[in-house]
Amino acid sequence: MISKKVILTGSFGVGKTSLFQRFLTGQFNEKYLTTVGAKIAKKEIYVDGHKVALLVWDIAGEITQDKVPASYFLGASGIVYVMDMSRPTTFAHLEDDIQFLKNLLPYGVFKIVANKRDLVSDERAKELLESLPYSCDFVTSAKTGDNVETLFQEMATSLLENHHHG
Amino acid sequence: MSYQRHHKKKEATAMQRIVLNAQGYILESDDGIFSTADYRNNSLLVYSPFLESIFDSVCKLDERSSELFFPRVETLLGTVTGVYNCSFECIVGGYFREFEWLIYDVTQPYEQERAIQQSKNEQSIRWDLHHRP
Repeated sequence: MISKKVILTGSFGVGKTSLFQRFLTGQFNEKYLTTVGAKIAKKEIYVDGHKVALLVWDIAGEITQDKVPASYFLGASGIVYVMDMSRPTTFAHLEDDIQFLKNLLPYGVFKIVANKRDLVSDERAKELLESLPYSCDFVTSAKTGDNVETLFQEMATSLLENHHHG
Repeated sequence: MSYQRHHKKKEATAMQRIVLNAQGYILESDDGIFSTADYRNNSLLVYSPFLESIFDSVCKLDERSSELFFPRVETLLGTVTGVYNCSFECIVGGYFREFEWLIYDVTQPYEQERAIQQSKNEQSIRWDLHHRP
């Protein structure tokens, strides 16, 4: 079995902890509770018959990524960058943040996620996604569970591919 | 004691010192926060996702030259869940390397900090939602 560290990051209030909880426990809590620091948990999943342990770090949201303690990123293989579709301010630093993170983890796997799909109309969602400087890998809703399992499954698949191709 | 260490200790309500070998086995522990009695027969990496996810980086530390510091880590230690400031240092180099893990329990100050941060974030979120296009 291989173990890989994955970090959930992005601005505050975008639903990182809700995605973390949905993935780990299948549950969703309506109440917003700020994360200060980092929560860490492990979940094992299967990818094409291979067992992969995801060591998931749910870290405190910061407006820009350079404010996150650099030690949190040590040993990370994957980054899930989360935005809130109902708050355009959470997209504002996407380009700079991704650049900053790619400098920290040049060989990392990145997944860009637009969360809280349940809070915006189809038209608004389309408009927002088209306005982003990077294409969004997943549109999720931690509340309904839409695409959450797929996100982590795809992350594990990409990490396994990276692992095998050195 | 460095300023950083003094600062970490000052806000903590409890502390634990663990010495690990390069495989993550416990060589010493004062059990100030959690009892390590049940975790002596296996690498601690098996029981701690936090340790497992950072131990490769810890093993790259040079002897007494630098430390790794992880502030406010919310995780399970033994049977205790809390928020901890953690620092790692290589205290014995060479073939049989040893690493000192200092754990400071900051659960209590963290809760105070969380309440303040929560209020700030909620205010910002309300502003964002009110002013969105």
